[in-house]
Amino acid sequence: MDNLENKKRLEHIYNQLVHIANGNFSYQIERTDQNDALEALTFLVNSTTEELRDAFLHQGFIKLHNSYEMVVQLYFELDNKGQILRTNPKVEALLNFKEGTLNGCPFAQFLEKRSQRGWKKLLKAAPKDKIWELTLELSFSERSGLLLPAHCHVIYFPEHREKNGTFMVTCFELVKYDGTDQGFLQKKLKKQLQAHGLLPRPEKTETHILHAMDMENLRKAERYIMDNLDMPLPSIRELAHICNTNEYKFKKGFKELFGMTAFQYQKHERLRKAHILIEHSNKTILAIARTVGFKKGNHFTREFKKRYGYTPSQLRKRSKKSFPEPK
Amino acid sequence: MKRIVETELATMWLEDEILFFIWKEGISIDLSGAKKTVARRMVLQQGKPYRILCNINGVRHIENEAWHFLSGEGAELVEELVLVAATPLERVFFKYISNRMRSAPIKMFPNMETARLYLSRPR
Repeated sequence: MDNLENKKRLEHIYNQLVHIANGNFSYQIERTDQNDALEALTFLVNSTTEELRDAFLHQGFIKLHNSYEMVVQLYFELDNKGQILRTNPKVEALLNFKEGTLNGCPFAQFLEKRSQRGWKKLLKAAPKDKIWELTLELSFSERSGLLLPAHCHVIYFPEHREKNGTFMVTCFELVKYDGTDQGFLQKKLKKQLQAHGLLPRPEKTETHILHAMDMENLRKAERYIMDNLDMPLPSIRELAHICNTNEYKFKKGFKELFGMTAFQYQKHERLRKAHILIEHSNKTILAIARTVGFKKGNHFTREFKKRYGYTPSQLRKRSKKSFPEPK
Repeated sequence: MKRIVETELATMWLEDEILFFIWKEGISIDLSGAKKTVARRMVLQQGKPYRILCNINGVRHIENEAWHFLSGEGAELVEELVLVAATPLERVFFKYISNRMRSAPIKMFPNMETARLYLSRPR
């Protein structure tokens, strides 16, 4: 573990983690032919970097037009022998070299071994008398040895008058384009699909949004219903008036907030109250029915059975058995 | 007679209702390689799911897209997967794939013999 090579490998992992911690997911650690624990760690760090990078790039959205943009990350201008004439400042930052130290160096020096071979082959084989371009994948090797894989576009301009032939090497990075309003595009797409019947049309109740203010108002109506359970329900217009809103908004909002109409809600609460009274009081069932606002006993019994599955008198008998009256 | 199928990346054959699948040494698996290899396996299996003994000794690297493919569509027609992984790197591969592949049970053994013994147990 202590040999020099392993120390270097460990250092690569360390450097890579520093970059990840700084939010830079562009690098990869060069893999070796080993299969030991250090190599396993290298693999895991590389995979983690890739996962993180992907997670940042697309967050489960459909790829829409304009949602990504390409930015030039690296730009090299080389002479016809492949030596660097100039670069953009970002090259020095990304490859971790001091300003101005790259000029005059052979481009191949900054590539990883395999890419180096590919690049040299390209230099040899490429025609020097006409403009050509191609895209290829090159792996740069930054100063501490981490790899920076990149899709590069190489363009060659041949000699022109006094000017020697030059190479341009650019590499792009895909970044998320913040200028696009994902929500807007998705809404538009959804609407179009709905218009063509490819997606179910939205139900009208879905479009109604309860605001905090409305909820406050609706609770007033609920309070009113609860306080006047024995009274007949006022008209919707009056209830809406209590809520300082209109009839339409009241009906929609009440249903959305409580899951039932005001009338259903009143019945629901009446029966609930009756259930409690039957179980825990000695009042007659008819008296309880009147207390909670039912005028007729048989109507009360019918509604009660529909709701709970047993009649009020059955409930009374059962509760008396479990809680016998004190003599 | 067992028919051995050899591809660029792997060797596979059917024996005693088990599919033996050996990745070649020193390979790096990319998406197209993974697709070709899985396609070949499907042909060999003729639509029938098998228990698979897969030896990953010597696999050097598996690219991200290849991982996604192998643990998703690439894991079709697998009844049970038994991996042979000896080195720390291979054990990490096992952990990686066992987290991703949910379609079939996975086990790991350090060598072919123990893996084979496990698969030949009465079920």
